Amino acid sequence: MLLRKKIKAIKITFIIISCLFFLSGRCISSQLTEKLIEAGLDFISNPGDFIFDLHHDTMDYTPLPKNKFLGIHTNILLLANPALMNSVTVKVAVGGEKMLPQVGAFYGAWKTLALDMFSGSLGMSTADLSGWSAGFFVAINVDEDTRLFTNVNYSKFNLNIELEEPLIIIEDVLEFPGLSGDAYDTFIFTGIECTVGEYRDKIVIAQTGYGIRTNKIVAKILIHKGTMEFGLTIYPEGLLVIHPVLNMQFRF
Amino acid sequence: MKKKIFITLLMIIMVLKGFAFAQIEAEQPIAEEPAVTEEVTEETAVGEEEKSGEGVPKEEVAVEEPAVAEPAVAEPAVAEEIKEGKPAIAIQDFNAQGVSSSEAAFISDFFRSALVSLKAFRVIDRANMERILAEQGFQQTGCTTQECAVRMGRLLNVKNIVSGNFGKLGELYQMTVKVVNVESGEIIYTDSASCPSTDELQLKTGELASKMAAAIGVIPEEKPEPEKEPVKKEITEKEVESETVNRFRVPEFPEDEFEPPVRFERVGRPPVFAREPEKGGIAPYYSFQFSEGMAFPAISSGSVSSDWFFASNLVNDAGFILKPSERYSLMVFYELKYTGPGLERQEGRVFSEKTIDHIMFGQLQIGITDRLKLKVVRNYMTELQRSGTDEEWTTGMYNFNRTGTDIRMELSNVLGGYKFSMGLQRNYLSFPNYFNPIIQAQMGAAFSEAGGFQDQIAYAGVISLTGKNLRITWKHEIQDYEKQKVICSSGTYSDTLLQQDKSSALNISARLGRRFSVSPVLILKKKSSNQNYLHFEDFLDISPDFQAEYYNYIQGSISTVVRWRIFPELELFCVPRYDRRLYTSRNPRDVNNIFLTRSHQRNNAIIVSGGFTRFYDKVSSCSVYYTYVKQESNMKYEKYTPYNYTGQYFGIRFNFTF
Repeated sequence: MLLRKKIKAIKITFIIISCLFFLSGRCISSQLTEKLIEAGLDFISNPGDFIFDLHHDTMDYTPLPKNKFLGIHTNILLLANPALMNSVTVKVAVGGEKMLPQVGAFYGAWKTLALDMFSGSLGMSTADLSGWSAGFFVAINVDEDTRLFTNVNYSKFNLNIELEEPLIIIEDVLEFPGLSGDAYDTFIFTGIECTVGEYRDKIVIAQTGYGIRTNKIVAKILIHKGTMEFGLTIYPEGLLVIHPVLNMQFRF
Repeated sequence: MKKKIFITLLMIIMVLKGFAFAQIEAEQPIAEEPAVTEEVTEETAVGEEEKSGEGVPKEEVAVEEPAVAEPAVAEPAVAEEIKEGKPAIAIQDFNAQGVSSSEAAFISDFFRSALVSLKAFRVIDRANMERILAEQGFQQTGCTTQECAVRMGRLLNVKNIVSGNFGKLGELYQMTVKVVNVESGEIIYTDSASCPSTDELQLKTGELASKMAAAIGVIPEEKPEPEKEPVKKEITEKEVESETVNRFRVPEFPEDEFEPPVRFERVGRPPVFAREPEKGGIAPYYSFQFSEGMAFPAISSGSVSSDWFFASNLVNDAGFILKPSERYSLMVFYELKYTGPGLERQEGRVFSEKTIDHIMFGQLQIGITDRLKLKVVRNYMTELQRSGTDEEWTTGMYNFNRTGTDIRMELSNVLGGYKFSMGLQRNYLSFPNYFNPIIQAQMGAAFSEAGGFQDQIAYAGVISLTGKNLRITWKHEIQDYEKQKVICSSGTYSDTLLQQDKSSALNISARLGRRFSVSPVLILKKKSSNQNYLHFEDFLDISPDFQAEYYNYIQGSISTVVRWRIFPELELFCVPRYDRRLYTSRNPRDVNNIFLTRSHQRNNAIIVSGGFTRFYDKVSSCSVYYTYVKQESNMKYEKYTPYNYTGQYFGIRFNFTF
């Protein structure tokens, strides 16, 4: 009887919250177009910031499992067109057993291979979009299921897209000749890794990084199972705050 | 209006109740270690309830057996029973039949050991049993009847008592046992076993104990196992994994978090609750909190935007606690905090403002005596601010750096278990980008020296009293500005008089209950400043209005955190809050920016949050919540900042804390 009451209380709470979400959703629709235009203008005014967000989506800043020494990581699905950004991150590490800390280094790079190949047919005279990150990480075991880790890395990307003919949005007022820019920074990440699941076959990771030069905050919440990794990358100050990510990892 | 008065009265009553409750709790002695203290205190309380529940039948028996009093020494058995969730049981020496009494006693010891190894009971050992009975003048010898067993069980304060016979019939050794429920006086179980040789006696005794435990429902009955193949290694590993998983999940309701072992105070930030390591050890601490949601303000007047917006907050804490010896411990924390746009803004700030904070704390704790501790805290903080226009973080006018020292003495176990703390703080705040065009213009030739008008030294004294369910803190702070001059009634800045602000705040928080808990918080604050205010209608205004003591106010805030942990994995929560600020001299303004001289400005805010939290394991949890805000003021000029609005916020929060 008590259990029924509890379940009923949960249901009522869910219904109330769902109704409130629904009612608020009606308020959004009227202003959604304005918000999208605002976001588009933000992107044009500072494309580098958004590309830097995508850069962090592709990179892997987590340590290796305790008994592994080599890891290869690549993104499958990115918030943008997955064909545009192809990345590989390679990690090597030593230690990590029992109470020994794991120490490792990584290098990751990405490049828009599809954009390179089809730049001519897309009306671009120059198309260079690539980035890389390199750094080291340290992970310590705090109990058999939990590790804390830190990652210090240097990240950089280049963006240079020139159109053969400027894209005219408003003649003589708003013309779009292309995109260019770069960004670089040293990021310090701290995070936690927890092994969960009925068979302890999943790893949940939460981490936060801070760019010393750009004051950029990057947070990631990831779930890793087998070779697949999915989760959210969070940029509180980004053009889009939450980016879903889907990655593959191979560990040896 | 009546509703507001009613709600306020209700809150005050709850706080007073909390205080009264805490006073009662305070009468019980509390040990040094809070975690253990809470456990023991609660057990004692539950134990008392158990005893009172059994009081009626005990009195009935007492009429039959008037000579026997309730033994105080038996209380630990009940407390232990509650602690471990196991029923207490006592075993009488078996009666000897055709064998010596020492042999029978030996078999009863076998039986006692078998029950202990099952870990299903709290077994009273022979030595304790004899001591308790001897103190009560009870003779075991000859106690063979059921009534006598019940009487003995009551003296030992156990739920069941086992008696039995051991003898030899022909070539077979025979054992019989019977279990008597002490409360009802009934025999609830009997069984017997036999064996041909002494070699098998121990085995048979163990079987008898297992069957008895299964029969009275303490452990599941073991079904006879069929012939089975040797256990494969994979299965064994899976079982081990399963045990680990069960431990890793949230297996039971968490311990009380109101006063965990280490409460790490931080200037201007909520305290960190962390576990202290063992002597010579180091304990890392990590916490990640991220919330994201949508806010829907509805502003009744003015030109402040009332568009909906996304609001996110992020807090990342990392640190460690080092304890090289019992006397010394060192704690170091670094916090990165991002506060995005939000509805609950301070007065004079708009929703879209954002901040990034870097906060570093280091605390050295020295145990002077067992009860007295000295804590020295050094803190560094940098706050970067920017508005909704997303200017560079480093250019924010109110960006500041803070460095400070906090020295505190903490005396534990005072006033019946409270922790008394007294401390002094000194912080230096610098605002490198702040400028004041008016004062800089007035300074004229000295303009080159302008700047740093908000730089200040803040001194504070803090006294706090912390108990199991109650915390009272009083803080008095004085802020001495280094360069900010006081505005005189003539409309010019004083040559010598510098601004000085003073504030006093009383914070009372309590907690009632555990799984269903109510935690009322009352905050009273008074602020006074010698600074006045010049009100310019516009840049060309040459006769500004002078407002004396413009920044003085009193403020009250009352809130209640209601939590209901309906399952170990799920908690519902609701937090109503009411804030009221009354300016003692400031006049409000109408929509045309004209001062209304007959009244003083007052701001009221009602904020109600509610939702649920899902706990996934000991580290991670997720909350979904809704917040309603209603702010009202007689200040109606809202060209730049909102004073009258309602707002709703829907959010989701992820939390990982180790």
